Amino acid sequence: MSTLGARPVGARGRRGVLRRALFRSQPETYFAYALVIVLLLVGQGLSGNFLSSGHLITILTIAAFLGFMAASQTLVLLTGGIDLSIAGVFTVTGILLGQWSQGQVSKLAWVLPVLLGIGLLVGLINAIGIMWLRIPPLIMTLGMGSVLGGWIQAYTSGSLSGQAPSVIRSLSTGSAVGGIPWIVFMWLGLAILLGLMLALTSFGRRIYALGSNRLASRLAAVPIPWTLIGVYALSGLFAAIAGILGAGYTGYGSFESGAEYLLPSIAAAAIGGVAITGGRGSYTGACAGVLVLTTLTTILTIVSVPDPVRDILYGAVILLALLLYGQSSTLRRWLDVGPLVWRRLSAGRARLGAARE
Amino acid sequence: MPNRPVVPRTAARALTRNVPVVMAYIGLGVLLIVYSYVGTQPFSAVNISSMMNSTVILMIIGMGETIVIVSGGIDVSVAGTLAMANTFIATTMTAGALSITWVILATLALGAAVGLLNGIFIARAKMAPLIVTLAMLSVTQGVALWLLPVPGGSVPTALTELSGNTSGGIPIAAIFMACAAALWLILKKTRLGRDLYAIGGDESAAYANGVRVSRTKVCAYVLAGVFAAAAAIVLTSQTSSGDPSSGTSFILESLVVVVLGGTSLAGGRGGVGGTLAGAFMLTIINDIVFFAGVSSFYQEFFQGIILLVAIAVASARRPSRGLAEGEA
Repeated sequence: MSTLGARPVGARGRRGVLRRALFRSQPETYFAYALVIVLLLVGQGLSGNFLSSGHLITILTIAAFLGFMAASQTLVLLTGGIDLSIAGVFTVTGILLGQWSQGQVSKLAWVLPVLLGIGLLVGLINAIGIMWLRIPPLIMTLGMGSVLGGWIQAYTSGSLSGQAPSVIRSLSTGSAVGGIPWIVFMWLGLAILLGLMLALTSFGRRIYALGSNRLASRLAAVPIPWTLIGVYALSGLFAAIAGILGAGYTGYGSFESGAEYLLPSIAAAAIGGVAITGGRGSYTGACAGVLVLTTLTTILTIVSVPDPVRDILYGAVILLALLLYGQSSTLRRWLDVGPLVWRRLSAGRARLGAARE
Repeated sequence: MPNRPVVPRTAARALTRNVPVVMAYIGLGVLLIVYSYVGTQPFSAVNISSMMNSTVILMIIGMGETIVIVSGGIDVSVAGTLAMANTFIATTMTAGALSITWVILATLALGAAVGLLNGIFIARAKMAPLIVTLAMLSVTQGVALWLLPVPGGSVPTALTELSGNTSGGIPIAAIFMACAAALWLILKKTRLGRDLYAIGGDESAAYANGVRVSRTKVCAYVLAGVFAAAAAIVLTSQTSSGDPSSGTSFILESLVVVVLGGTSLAGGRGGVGGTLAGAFMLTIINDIVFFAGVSSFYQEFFQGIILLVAIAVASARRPSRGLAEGEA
């Protein structure tokens, strides 16, 4: 093994498959997780029981809803698009869950499939508009979002009734194992599934291909329409799940509920190293972003920062993340060089070990 | 160049070069005809002046948006800038620390500052315009809520008189519109105006031809911020109070008027002339929806539909771009 290129492909490939699948060897992701730890320690410094298991579970539970919304946004951002309609989907599904089921578990048999279908349908329409009518993703999803928001207001005439059925409520709040709610496990499952899907399936690879170079992926016979439909439909589906579970958490949906997650979903992806221009990033990274934002929000609540400042902060955090991860920034150089030094060192150690034998 | 079709340097040439804008005015004409049948007393003096009042705000905020979109960017933060400027005026006027002139100047400076930040992030740090302005939308709306948590504040009568009155039989709103249009015509003749179109058409070609790309981009976003602040001044003079959520409807509307006006979202084509028609069209459509007895809840719904239909029509008219087709 004199040169790096002479290595057999499988040797490195098999060893690091899970790590590469989940982290994509992206320095930003490691940085974001380090940021989570720093924030947790800061929180512990501010309030004594920040790191108690009960409080950590609360953070994870709140983070899970944003986690689902960030999953939507990550998939779409990876293709080089953006989905502003997920806020509308969240609101619509959350409200309709209460409205249609009126708290009765028996009605879930038709309400749940219809709600998930709404999410898929919205995604499908988005994809059709973007692909065939050639409407820019921003405008398509912005218009779709206001169509959804306007429709739900008109449909309910501005007044809400009903509540989420007990089954959904226990999914969001009831504990599964050791006091950890079901939703946290669902989020974990989603993270693993998405990580594997993005890294190992052809669909996942096509998403990255689309986002890196639209023309090249077209020439490489990537089925662009089907990939886009899949991505936007999944995005709508995850937002619908988030809306349903969100209504389960608070007991009922509200007109403003979805909008609160829109910007944080983009911010979470940006912090976790998902390139806004597409083709780069991972859901594992976005999860780190979700944890950073949720922990930060919790800390801000502890030091009683008013709500408006939180809006300012979300915007500032996005700008900061983009600035820090930008190609020309100093942090970027450090992030890139750090793992390289680490790899050289461990390679050196391995060679030493081999020489000793 | 013997094979080049000879188009005389006349109005006809100007028309053929601006087909979407001409279409916008045709659409406006059709809407006016529909409106004259549907509306109750559509062309009474009261109704015209109230329409002018809603149109002038849309036109001014749309003008800034047009400048950015012509340069190939997008600015979704103008709605936030408007809300922030609106609450800023209401709070400073209520406090009574500054005279009206100073408040107006400070408001315009505030708008310019937001635009400058946007421009620096986009042109110098090379970030995506959409994300930068989306983040800035959150920041400015946060500032608006922080300045004025609940709607309120009061404004001296000197400012409210600006919009309520007519000057020699002409509504002041119309005078504002004429001023804005004149400003645009002047801007188009300057180097900045020409560079905006050059960058929007083909950025690297513009750079290769010596256009100061990043400076022009910064200018575009600064102008968008200033016009959003100016729209806020007019809005505040009409409502005579501040409201932190006053920007919400403009997120969509600022884009709808530009698109309805025939300006291409890809940049380099269109202009404020079309946006003026777009602003009138949106006002009339809102009025028609209102007169038709449709629930006001549907307003947002229809605006979303209008935006999508207008864009779809505009995109369908564009010739196919071959291999690059479907590019976002």
